[in-house]
Amino acid sequence: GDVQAQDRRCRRLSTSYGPCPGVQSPGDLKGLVWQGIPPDLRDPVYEWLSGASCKREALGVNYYHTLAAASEEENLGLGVIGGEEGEEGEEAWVCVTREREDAGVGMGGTGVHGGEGLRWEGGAGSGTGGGYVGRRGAGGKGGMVVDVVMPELDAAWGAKVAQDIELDLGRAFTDSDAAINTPEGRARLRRVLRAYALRNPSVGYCQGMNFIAGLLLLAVSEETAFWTLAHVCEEVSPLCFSPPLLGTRADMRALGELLKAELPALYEHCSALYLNLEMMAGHWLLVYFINIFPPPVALRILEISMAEGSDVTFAVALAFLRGLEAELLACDDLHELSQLVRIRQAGMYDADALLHQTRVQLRRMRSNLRILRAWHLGDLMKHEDEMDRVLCRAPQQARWRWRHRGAAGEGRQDEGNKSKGGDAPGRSHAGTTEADMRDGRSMNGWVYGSNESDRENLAQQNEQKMRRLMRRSVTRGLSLIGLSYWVSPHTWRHWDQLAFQVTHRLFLEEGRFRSMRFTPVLVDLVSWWMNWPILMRRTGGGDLPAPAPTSPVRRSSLGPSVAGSPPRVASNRRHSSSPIKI
Amino acid sequence: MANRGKQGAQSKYDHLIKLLLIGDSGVGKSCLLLRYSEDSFTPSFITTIGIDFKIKSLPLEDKKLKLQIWDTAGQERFRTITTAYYRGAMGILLVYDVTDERSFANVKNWMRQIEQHASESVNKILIGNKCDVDPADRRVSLEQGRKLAEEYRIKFFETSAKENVNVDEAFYTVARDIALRIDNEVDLTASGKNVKIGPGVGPAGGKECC
Repeated sequence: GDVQAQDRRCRRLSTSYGPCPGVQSPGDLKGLVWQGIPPDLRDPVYEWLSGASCKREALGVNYYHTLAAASEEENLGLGVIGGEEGEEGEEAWVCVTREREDAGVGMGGTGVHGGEGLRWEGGAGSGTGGGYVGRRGAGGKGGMVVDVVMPELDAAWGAKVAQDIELDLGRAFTDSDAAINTPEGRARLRRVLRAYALRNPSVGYCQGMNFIAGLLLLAVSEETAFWTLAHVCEEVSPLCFSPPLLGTRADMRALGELLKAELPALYEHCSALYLNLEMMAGHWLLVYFINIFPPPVALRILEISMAEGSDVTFAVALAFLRGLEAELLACDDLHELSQLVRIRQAGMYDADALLHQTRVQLRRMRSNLRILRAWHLGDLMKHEDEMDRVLCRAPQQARWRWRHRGAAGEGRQDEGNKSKGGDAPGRSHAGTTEADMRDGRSMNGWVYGSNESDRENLAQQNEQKMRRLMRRSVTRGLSLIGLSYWVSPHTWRHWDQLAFQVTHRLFLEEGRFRSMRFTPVLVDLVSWWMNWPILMRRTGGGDLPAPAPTSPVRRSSLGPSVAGSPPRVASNRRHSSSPIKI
Repeated sequence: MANRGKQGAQSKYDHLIKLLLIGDSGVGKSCLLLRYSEDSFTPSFITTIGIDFKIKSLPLEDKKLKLQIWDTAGQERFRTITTAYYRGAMGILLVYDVTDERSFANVKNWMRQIEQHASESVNKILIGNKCDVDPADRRVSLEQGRKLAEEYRIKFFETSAKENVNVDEAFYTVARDIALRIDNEVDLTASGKNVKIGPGVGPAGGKECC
């Protein structure tokens, strides 16, 4: 019976895995993933879930191999290039050099989210974006178009990342018999991690990624593991692995609140014993229970998270603790309690029961959870330095966005110049030199290679404006929507529900929020929401959710909108009929 | 709520002491903790993600101490998570690796973190781990470590989790110092209560609680 069921499952999965699947998972595939992916179908399904085939199409079939080969060199292949243009400060900027020919095959238009970036520009950008990290000021050479260079991305950065990875290669699994602990397995893990660090320097290498990549390598091929890792770090858990670990911190807080609300007795019991449950459970979320539950169970949780989003990990934590609640409550010694949790974790072989509970939990509390997570993320981002750090880590996306806004700029260049001069000294913390400021090529650590100075001025002005507006609307979690959009537009397909929930909730509690001066944000949200279908078509992913029906009415009743808040970007976009040119 | 829990647990121990292990990635924090709490050693350890903890009971003269030892991730980006728990720690064990100069040089950064985030009265101790290595592989001498510890006026041990050298001693020293400090503070609080100086009781009680 079991074999037959497995067989049926295989057949259904094979049929739903079409030849060229879209980005969105159909509902029935999700259901099948919940039941478990048969081992021999893991490769194609993982590729499908992570959108690997689409990304490979955009980035070139050899993308992974090119990156892996590049990263095998010393310092991840990051070396110093001399000042070919004879400009001061050039030597200080170190980047990967990739010729255009190379780029055409393997690395065309790559980037942290380069593929999406290209599509975002409606094809206009397909001629740009040479190497992954391009060469500054080399516009005339071999048709290579200048790309963003992150100042911190130098040989020292490469060496640090390589060292971190090396240190953790042998620390992915305790089980010394695991295939990942053989020399060959470690080499594979090293290649995947190093290649990923080059793909996404904003993350580089974060501890915990060795667990994820290690587990994936046990299950699927090397390249699929790479794409899946990319999917996990960029789409399933965005902001969770990049340096301020904003997402992780917000999630830990959200989990604490969730546990307090869902399991009040247990929460109180534990805090009476001076045990902080959220702290204990915090790292469950980051690594998808790898090395906490047995590998097969962890793998299933990871698979489901790929299909459903990282809310799943919260539900697993909740289901696990709920199953243990009676035992834990009976235990009033801290040592015994922690031992009990550990033993139950290690003995969690009955994945089906746990996942059934997980599904029930998820269905019940998902909408609340999303609000909770957004709320905490926004709360953390209230601090300006956090904002700076987050924004600093999103150079690729920022470039696309700013160029667009630059093109749509309404002659505010003077204002931009003025504020640029005024703010210059304050920006030195991000590694910007005076010379860069003069040239208008660097802002807050982001460097622009474009030699069209007007664009840069506009971009600078936009950046400042954005910063100002973000700071204002950042209060209370709403900025999440704007931010996720800025950091990686394609993650939106995971945020759509959230956005809807937040908007909806705000309307419900309008009176309360208005007293908290949320009206401008609210209006912007609505205008953004109304433009959702257009945005989604532009980004080329996701379903088109129905716009909130009450929006137009509410909007008019709330008075005029404040121009230029993040969501307003959307309406700018709608009204600009001309295609964006670079 | 917390008080009630403390009352209930008082039958089992006199003091709950919270310790924190910090230091660069790969210096052997988790191994030290494993050696101390379970008296075992494994060369293949998994990376600590975020924060983890172990419990150890320790008899001290006529008292029972319960140590709750937090183990932290060493990678720099995790500091945003771990520093949140500095304030709750009563003692901090700062670990470096005697075979790794960089981890030793980073001690001053870690000290700065402690100054910024931990409470002022926190007990600190410097530990140079992996002292079992071949002298040829050693990069930081015993003298250098001792000198640095003197500079910060904290106690210093060279330990080996592998060979079980000085591990118990290091933890015991911190725990004992903290227990003494708490006893003094409790005495102060108690005397404050007797004289009924309302405002005086609050801060002292809060300090003990944290």
